[in-house]
Amino acid sequence: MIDALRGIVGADAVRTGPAAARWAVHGRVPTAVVAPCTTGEAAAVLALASHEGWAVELAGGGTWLDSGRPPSRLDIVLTAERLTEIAAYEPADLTISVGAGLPIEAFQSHVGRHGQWLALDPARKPGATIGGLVATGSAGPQRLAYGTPRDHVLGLELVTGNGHVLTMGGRVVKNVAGYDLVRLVIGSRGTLGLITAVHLRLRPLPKRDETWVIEAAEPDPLMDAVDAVREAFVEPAALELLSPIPRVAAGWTLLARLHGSDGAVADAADRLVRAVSPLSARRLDAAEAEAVWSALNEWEAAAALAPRLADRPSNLRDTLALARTLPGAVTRWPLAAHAGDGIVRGLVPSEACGDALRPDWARTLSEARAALAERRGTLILACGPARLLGEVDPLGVEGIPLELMRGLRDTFDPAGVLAPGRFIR
Amino acid sequence: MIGSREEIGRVARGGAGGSEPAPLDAALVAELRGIVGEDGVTTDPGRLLVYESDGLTAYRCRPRAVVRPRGTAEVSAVLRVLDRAGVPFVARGAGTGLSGGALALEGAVVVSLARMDRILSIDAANRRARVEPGVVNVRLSRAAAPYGLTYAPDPSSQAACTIGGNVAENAGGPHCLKYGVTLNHVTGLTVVLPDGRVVELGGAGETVGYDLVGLFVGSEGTFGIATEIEVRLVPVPEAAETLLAIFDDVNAASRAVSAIIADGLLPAALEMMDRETIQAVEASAYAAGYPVDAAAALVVEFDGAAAGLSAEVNRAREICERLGAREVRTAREAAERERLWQGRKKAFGALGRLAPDILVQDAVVPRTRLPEALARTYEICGRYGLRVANVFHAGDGNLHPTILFDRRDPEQVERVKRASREVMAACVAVGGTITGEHGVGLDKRDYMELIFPDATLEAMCAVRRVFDPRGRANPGKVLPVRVCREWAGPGTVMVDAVGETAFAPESGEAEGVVQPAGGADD
Ligand SMILES: Cc1cc2nc3c(=O)[nH]c(=O)nc-3n(C[C@H](O)[C@H](O)[C@H](O)COP(=O)(O)OP(=O)(O)OC[C@H]3O[C@@H](n4cnc5c(N)ncnc54)[C@H](O)[C@@H]3O)c2cc1C
Ligand SMILES: Cc1cc2nc3c(=O)[nH]c(=O)nc-3n(C[C@H](O)[C@H](O)[C@H](O)COP(=O)(O)OP(=O)(O)OC[C@H]3O[C@@H](n4cnc5c(N)ncnc54)[C@H](O)[C@@H]3O)c2cc1C
Repeated sequence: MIDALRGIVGADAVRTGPAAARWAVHGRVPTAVVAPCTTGEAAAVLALASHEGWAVELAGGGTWLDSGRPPSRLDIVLTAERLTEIAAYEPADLTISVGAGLPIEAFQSHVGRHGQWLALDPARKPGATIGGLVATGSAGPQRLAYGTPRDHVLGLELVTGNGHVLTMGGRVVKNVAGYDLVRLVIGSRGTLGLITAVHLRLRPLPKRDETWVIEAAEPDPLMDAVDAVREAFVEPAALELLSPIPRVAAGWTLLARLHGSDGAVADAADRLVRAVSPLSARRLDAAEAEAVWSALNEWEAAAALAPRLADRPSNLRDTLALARTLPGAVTRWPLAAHAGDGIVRGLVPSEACGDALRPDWARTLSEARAALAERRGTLILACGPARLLGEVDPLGVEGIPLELMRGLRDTFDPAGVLAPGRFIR
Repeated sequence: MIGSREEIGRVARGGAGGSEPAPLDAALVAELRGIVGEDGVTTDPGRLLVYESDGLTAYRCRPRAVVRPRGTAEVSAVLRVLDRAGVPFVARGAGTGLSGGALALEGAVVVSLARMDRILSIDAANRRARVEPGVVNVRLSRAAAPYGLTYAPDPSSQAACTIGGNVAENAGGPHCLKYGVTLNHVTGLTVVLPDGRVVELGGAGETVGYDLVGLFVGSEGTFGIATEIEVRLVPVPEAAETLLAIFDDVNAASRAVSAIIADGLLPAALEMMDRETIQAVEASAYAAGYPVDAAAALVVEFDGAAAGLSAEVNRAREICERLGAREVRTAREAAERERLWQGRKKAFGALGRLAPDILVQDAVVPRTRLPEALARTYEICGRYGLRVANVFHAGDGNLHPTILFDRRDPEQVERVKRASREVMAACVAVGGTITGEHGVGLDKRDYMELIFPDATLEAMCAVRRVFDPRGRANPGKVLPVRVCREWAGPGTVMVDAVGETAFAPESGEAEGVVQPAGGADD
């Protein structure tokens, strides 16, 4: 296997033994980690793997491979990390084409020099890539104003499980030519093929960016504030409801981020202050704001178990109450909610994770999921210890059209070599 | 692309060989009536005439029957019965589509969603609405207005087109520049698959598994019929200000478009009209007071919080003036803004009066390439001796070259066809695409190869077969017939479709006219 792979990508692009250990998936170390330099090499590797039946985990930076169920088989990790070219960037068009392996941070600082950004702020560790962001469909607090990757990706290049190179979508900001395969690939978690290049829509950096803090002893008044903010059309870029989190929030806290022109932000701040009264809102200075948001990201990135409960925003009170039934919620590990989107997430660091293997975790998760499912809400485990994920399906596929999804997956990965057992089973 | 006269003739006769579409078997008609009621099925040829084309009148094909179900259960029952009988179907909203998408090819029965036009709920707290597919676009915004909310995607046809048709085409509109297209606003769907199964896509929580809502939007009626649609509503902007900039040079106007985008301004809308359009409007009952000697006009609108709006408008004004606008008018009051918009909104109607037929083309180019693409459009149409007007969503780079012609003259039709293909190729050559909002339908199937390699087209075929293994849903649309053969290694899903209908490469009906699918009623 290793010789065959080296024959395709060259000796230095195949890592084995201890060098492969960093790419373990739920503790399983692959036989080889392959980092092609071109789409053609990636296609040859996947064609061979399909032919031989080698199980392949696709990857970007490999920072989030413990998401999803443990693989039923694992032979190779195929990473896009060397595909980092910025192929076409025309700032005046606010569009860009990049290799999927480009790290998110490098990407943002590159376009930032032109006063632009990709308007997504997913939880991430250093080294997380654009391809990984697209493959997981992840978005952070600012999804409230800017949506998720589905709203930003214009096109991409995909190498299917059996080595076909497909171009999807395009580079222009509007495009309805044929089926929107791009939306299918976003969030597909490495089960349809390796994303090798991505075309994205950019936005001008907001002229003004302010973060306001509202604190309370209990979450209830803050949830009233969330309703009031919506009714007053404050339209923040992010609205995060946090339980106490060291370095982020001393007590229960609402963080509101305002983006826009000077005039628009001043107006929004004014509305915010009035809407949340009698609670008081305080504006953070730029350094404080930066520190709070990056500390929150660090908490997310450090989570070893990350349940996410989601329902209509108007049901936030119930969703939060369900999250608080999980063992140790708020007392041993914090909760953070995308309040405007109705998504409550638990951030369980590895220290607190040991007890996640107790039976009451599996039980409370299943009960909360069932309660949410009644309203077509969801509970997913963004990541977690392998044993727990073996017991509680991280997705919860009740009510989704599995047959269609399996059909689609088999179309792109006919040999069933991509991330077997990890996503849709 | 529009067909040569022979092709149009063949489409018009509804089948190769010149036969009328075979009438539906009487027992099948009775069965359908049993589901949707006596008045829910039309088979009378005279009354079927209105269904023979959509907004692209160059193609005509009378359906065998029209069925009008009243809800998801009836749609499901109808599709089950048709599936069993081996009869294909095509969903139809208002029939305003501009790519021939709602035409009933291959003996398809039209499933009209006209009787499914209820707004099921408006959930103001969550800014969501749930509607049946036959709801006319503008009605939804009117219903949401009392809550201070609106449905943002606003195709110029919004007074007639349906939300179901919008979902199927992933429709855009002037204000999609800031607010996004239909895709960005659809959060959930109830879909009846071609075999009658009902699936729920999306929901109240996060996406679990693949984003099938995203995949369904823009599938042009070939994956099944959307019977309920949940959409996002957005706040009605507190204020809006509109600017009309008049240019003596069309290139200067398109450079101003690029400059406004590059400056980081985000107008709610940024529309352009050229001289031909302005003159047509001013000669019509909709005269908006645009100077008739102008080479181009831009309508630029900003909206949002009242505070800060003027700064943006002033910035846009400066840019237009710097790039040579000879006159810039602005308006803040609704009535006055309406007047500035008038010409843009009535443009297609006004152009329609200048010639027996108009062909509204649809292509997208990168915004920085607008001047070049526009110049190529004029050059190409000029070379073919065709009159062309341009009125389009400039801020998105979404061109609508509108060609004036007479369908009765085959030689003209041939020139229109050739010019269209060249225009498409020119847009693709500068990094653009063949359609930004009107869809591929029947008209652009053969342009798909200009932008996608065979592997992608074949993957699209395979995806279609996952939803519609027997080729029942809107046959003959979207994909060129040539490529719809097996692609290496897709497994078993696709094999059983071969030989059924349009998916069969050997059917040899590359021009969109395939014999009615074999079935019990033939
Ligand atoms: C709901 C959710 C919650 C998240 N929460 C956190 C969090 O709390 N902390 C955190 O650090 N991250 C989190 N993430 C992930 C994070 O936002 C980034 O998406 C991720 O870190 C991407 O990093 P990477 O390049 O290292 O991807 P990897 O870790 O290499 O891969 C992540 C997943 O994406 C697939 N993938 C990656 N690249 C490609 C490619 N080029 N082609 C095809 N498939 C590919 C992999 O198969 C794998 O399934 C979350 C993601 C989701 C969806
Ligand atoms: C003057 C004029 C201006 C226009 N301006 C714009 C514009 O600005 N932006 C724009 O995007 N378009 C525009 N259009 C095109 C057209 O209005 C849109 O494509 C619209 O979305 C079609 O809606 P409809 O209800 O008329 O659909 P139809 O024409 O009836 O059908 C269109 C397609 O949708 C399918 N379909 C319909 N309903 C369903 C359903 N419930 N489930 C599955 N498939 C379904 C049909 O099978 C067909 O393939 C314009 C058209 C005209 C005539």
